[in-house]
Amino acid sequence: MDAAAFDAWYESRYDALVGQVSVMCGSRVAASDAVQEAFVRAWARRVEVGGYEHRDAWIRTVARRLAVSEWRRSRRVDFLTVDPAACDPDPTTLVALRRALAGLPDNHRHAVVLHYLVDLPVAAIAAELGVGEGTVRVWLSRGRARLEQLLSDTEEVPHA
Amino acid sequence: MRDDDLRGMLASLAEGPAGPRPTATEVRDRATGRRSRRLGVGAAVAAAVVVLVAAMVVPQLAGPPRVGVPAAEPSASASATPTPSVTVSDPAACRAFAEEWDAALTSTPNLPAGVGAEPMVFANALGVVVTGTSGGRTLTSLFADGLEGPLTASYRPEAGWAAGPAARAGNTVIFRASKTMSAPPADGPWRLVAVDGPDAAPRVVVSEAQGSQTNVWVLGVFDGIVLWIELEGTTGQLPTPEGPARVRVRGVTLDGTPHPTGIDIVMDRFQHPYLFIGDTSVFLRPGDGTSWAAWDLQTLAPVALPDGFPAPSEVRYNTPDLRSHLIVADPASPSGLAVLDPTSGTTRPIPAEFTHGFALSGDILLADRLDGTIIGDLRTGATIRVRNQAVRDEGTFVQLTHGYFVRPGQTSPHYDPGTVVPLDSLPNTVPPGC
Repeated sequence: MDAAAFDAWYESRYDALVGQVSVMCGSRVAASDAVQEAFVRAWARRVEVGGYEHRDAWIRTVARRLAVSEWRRSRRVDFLTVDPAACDPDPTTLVALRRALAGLPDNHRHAVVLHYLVDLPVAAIAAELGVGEGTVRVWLSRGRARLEQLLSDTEEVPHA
Repeated sequence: MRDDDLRGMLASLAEGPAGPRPTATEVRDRATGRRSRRLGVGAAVAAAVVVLVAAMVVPQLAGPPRVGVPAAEPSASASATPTPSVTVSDPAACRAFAEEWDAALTSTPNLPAGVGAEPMVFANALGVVVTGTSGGRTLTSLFADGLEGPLTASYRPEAGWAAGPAARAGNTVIFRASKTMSAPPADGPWRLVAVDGPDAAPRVVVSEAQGSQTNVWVLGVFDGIVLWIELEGTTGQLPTPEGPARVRVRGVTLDGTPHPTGIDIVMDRFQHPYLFIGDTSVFLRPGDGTSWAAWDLQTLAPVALPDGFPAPSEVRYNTPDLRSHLIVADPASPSGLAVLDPTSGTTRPIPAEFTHGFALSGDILLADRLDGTIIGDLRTGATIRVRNQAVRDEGTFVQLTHGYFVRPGQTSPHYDPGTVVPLDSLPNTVPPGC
């Protein structure tokens, strides 16, 4: 992968990757840092990465791991300090969704985001997360059910 | 909530300003700057291998034979050893190291005939395991003495089963297989999976218990004793090694590790660290905040915390890989944390660098950091930092993208898809300063 190809890849995918990783890790700042670092690593390994068929999956995986690591270090503070004004168009709903996502286990949340946001099929999610397709289906099923439950709870007991 | 609604909400959540970002040129410059500092002139090949900073060589690597040799018992009172100061090696030493590894990584294995098409090769404590496709089914073979040695065992699961790698449980070889079923099977004898090879006596079998929809149930059985289990399902029973007693589980995922008196089980390992301790009758799960609550496995009712269990407020971390240990506060430890064995009550201090993101298996600690993964040997206090590596703990080895960190008492075979290189003759850590 030469510089021109890398630059085009970076420019075309950066914003989307930050958005995807931010939903996974709960922090746009951490996601931005992680995606930048992932691209740094991608360039450092450009010969290897350039040969990958699914480069986006590779860089998303690297960024996700970096962001989750940082998120664990910060103990999920970002999930609890969402600025409603930063969410558009429906701050109340999106804050509730973000809180609900924070209530999911990491693997369930990652599977839900990859399926419903990135639109990856189960097989691709399984490959990206390094687990079997059956496991992904279980995570999606449980994650979806838990998400609905958490959102339902939010509706019944509105936050002050 | 419909799927489209969820998609729309997630898309809205993902939208928004990405904030200031460097240009692509700046990103490339950052990578280039790091690489030149890390590798030195002319050592480009090392970027594809392992970059270890502040490394300590684990002295036990070149020790005993690898087949069937359990890891040495840990010393409960071992203390962490400070990481030594780094001395910069001669550039030629760095270059030689990188070239040696590069040559090893690019070598082509001489696979035995009959392992099947597109073989996947890896090594573990048992030896070299080769999995390939043969006759429409997956065949997994074990070569205890390396690829040049005789075939030790192999198995070919029934059609529809997915084969997994061989694994070690004590001195026993366990093969893994799984199957997704659309409906629960009828009651009756469990199905057996065919066992081929010179060790074809019915010693190693994989049995199906029950499943439905997308659930997967897998049992590893040796001489009629369950040694390995992975369940994703609703309700089932499993025999324990002690005898006819059965454990009923509901709606959980189990990951069991056998030992002489029972099975240590982490329940729902992808959810939260439900933890079995001591025996299989009581498990723990998080309560409010950092507290823990004990539950009876049979009745699923809360019970008192077992004797010797630390005060709930002392438990700081737990991970799905934590097995029967907990990480607790310990002011005397360099990190302020220690690993506690709830059964014996003994603790082992955790090195200062390990302050978050734990994964623990046996004596090996992993910690994720933005600047790399730290691998620590709790027994000796040795630590290494691994950059730009995908890291996964496979029980006996900590697998890196381009190699293994090997547990004390084990030799060091090397893994890379399609390549098997015995690393006994290769350096296991990057020379300091490279």
